Amino acid sequence: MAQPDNSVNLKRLSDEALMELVAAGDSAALAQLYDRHARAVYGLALRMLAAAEPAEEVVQETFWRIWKRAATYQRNSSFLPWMFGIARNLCIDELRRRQARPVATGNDEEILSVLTDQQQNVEQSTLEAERRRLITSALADLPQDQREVIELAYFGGLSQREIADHLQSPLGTIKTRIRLGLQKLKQTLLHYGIDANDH
Amino acid sequence: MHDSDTEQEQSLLAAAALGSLDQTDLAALEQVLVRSPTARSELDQLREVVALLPYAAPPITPPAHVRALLMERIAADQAARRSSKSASSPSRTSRPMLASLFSLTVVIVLLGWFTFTLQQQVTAINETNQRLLVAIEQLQASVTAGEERQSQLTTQLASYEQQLARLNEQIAQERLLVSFVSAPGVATRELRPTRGDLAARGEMYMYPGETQAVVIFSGLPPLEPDRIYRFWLSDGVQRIAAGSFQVDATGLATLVITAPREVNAFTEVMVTVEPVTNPTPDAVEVILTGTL
Repeated sequence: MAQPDNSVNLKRLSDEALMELVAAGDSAALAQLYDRHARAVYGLALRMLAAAEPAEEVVQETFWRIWKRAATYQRNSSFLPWMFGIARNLCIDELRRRQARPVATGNDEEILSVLTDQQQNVEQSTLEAERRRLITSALADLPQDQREVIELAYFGGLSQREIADHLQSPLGTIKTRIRLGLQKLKQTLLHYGIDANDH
Repeated sequence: MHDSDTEQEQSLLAAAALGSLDQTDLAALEQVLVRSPTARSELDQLREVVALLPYAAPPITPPAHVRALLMERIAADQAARRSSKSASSPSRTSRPMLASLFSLTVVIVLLGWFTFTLQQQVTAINETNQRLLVAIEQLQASVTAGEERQSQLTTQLASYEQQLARLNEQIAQERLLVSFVSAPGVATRELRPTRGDLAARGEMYMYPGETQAVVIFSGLPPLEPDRIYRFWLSDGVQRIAAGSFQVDATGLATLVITAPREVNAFTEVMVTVEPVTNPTPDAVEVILTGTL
């Protein structure tokens, strides 16, 4: 009797279903999650750290922590915020170790231009490209001052007070920009009809 | 709720979703989340939005060695988990451990039994040895007693042999006396006391031409240990001592004499009482006399 292709079955599972298998010690499920999200994590790390080697370390450490902390993952919560939260915190830790935080404010194309991606499959690349286009578009629709503080907060790992210091703007202004920018981003993405669970 | 309060609450939720909340605002956020389920839902929605921000960065496949290293790390972790699980799993380890414990217990019990049996055997052997030692001591004592008894018997036998020898000698003497006094041709001479108060007498048996004669005495009183009776032969010129003797409690004695020449060559015989040593003429008394 022919054995079913386990990798095909895993591909059909949601991130959350895969996490249940990972929590049970299924390394193939983790490999599936890696294949599904490592590129986004690596892209995030490169955007935040602007260096390949520490970004690779962030990728490996992110999925290692997913493997080790799978038992603590809450089933009814979304996987991507949890995963990117781990990756982003690792990047922030690295930035703080450096004690020099590069601020990426829209020049990510320059940083990443030296890196090429020759391994993405067509289907995944198409979906990711579309998602990236929509998100980039949503960010581009934001007023520049709102986009700036959101990127400084998320990709720069800065707190509101640190952003205020960095931009030499009142803290209240920064809080307002973040609140308005994120609300607008939410409405735009809802308008586009995408959410974090689309992949 | 005022608009300003709502805006402040929305600012807390937005900053929290972006991970840019200052430490000083954490307590305020917690109060909002505890108080408002709507705020908790809004925070979840904002986090979903923020989770899309990484896609604003161009996704790039990490180098292959990253995945390889990760999977090696995971494989090692799985092996460690299996090892730890098997080490702590009682179902896998208990059977051989129980079997080992059971075997060990059986061995201990057997060794204990063998030791107990050996101790019993050693105790029995010791008791047997003690009994044998006692028996040997008794046997040695018995042998010693036997040897002493044998020695006593030997001594007694020697005594009997001496008595027998004396008796044989006495019997031979008695036979000699009997044969001497009963032989045909024997001559008899009588010895009479020199004092009237003495009831003693002597009878001498002799053969003419022979040097040997036998004298039988009776009625003689026993003497003190330092005094003896002495028999004399006299030919009228010379007196010759021919022997000394004692008498028994009944006053009897027998004396065999051997003269320097034939007995009938002498003319007179006598018996004196005198000291055993250094007799002086004053200390010598003639108590019996006779003629041949």
